[in-house]
Amino acid sequence: MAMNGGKPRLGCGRLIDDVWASIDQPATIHERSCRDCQSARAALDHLEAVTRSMRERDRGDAAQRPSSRVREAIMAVARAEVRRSRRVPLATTPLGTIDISEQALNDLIRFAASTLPGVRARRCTVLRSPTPQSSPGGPSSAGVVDGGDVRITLTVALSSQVRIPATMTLLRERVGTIVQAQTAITMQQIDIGVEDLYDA
Amino acid sequence: MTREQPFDARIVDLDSIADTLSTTLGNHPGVIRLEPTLRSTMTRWKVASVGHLHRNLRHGTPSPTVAIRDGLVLSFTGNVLTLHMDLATSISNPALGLARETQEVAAEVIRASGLSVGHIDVTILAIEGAPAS
Repeated sequence: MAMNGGKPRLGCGRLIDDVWASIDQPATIHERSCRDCQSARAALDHLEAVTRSMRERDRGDAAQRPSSRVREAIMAVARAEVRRSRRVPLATTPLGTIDISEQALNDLIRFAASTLPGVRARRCTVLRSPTPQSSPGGPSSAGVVDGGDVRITLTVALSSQVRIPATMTLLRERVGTIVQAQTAITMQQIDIGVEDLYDA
Repeated sequence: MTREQPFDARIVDLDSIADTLSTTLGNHPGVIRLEPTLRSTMTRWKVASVGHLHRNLRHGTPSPTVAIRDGLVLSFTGNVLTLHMDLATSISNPALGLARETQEVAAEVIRASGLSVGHIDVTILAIEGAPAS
């Protein structure tokens, strides 16, 4: 086997990488008649079998598994990460930027809605209007929402005892007030959908 | 003759500053916790692995330029320390005001360590009910 341009070649001139790339397919006409290729395929077949065997053994080997503590830590972080999603910029101070995750904003909005008697908040969505903004050292700009143009859609279930139009007005006020107090965001649009009525 | 300004060559114990920031910010009223993220966790493992290798293979190498704690990423360049914080805050405190306070607190800790303050960016990752006392 010769080296050519840093890549090992067989005596017949083929790159060994090419042989490996097709190792799971039947031998070609050339490979069936070439001794170099037959020898390489046999060696690579053996390597693949040994690798597969070791992989299977590791899979069943308790010593190769992470401890439950490590697994729980990884899963907790992964679950939290999924929930965090995009960022909404809140302020830029002389010291740096401040932003809030869209998920935290959603939770805040649902909390605000649920403080109103007869209202059970369900889903909340911040409408997408991404801007090409970034913060040095912070998260990437790919997931940034324009903090000056926050529009949301909120779905709720209402008690059958409340008057819907009046409750909608109160709900918009409540959500707007609490979000403003916590984050200084002034909502540009709050769309509310009543999905369900419940007896109370 | 004495000299008030520090010499250029200095040893910065970034891990010590990270620990101080973690404790100080974690105990700040209204901060429920400093939130670990997948990014900070993976970076921490990477930094720890590289640091371990350096300690074993290259004795006497410079002190690390990045330190990671739950919810904190510290980067040190020149004499400037840059910080990113991920916070979970209490609903009983205005989140934006609290984030500003934590920036100030972090800046004080950094200055007290004799370093210059770079960017201190804050992300609020959760607003939760205050823990039961």
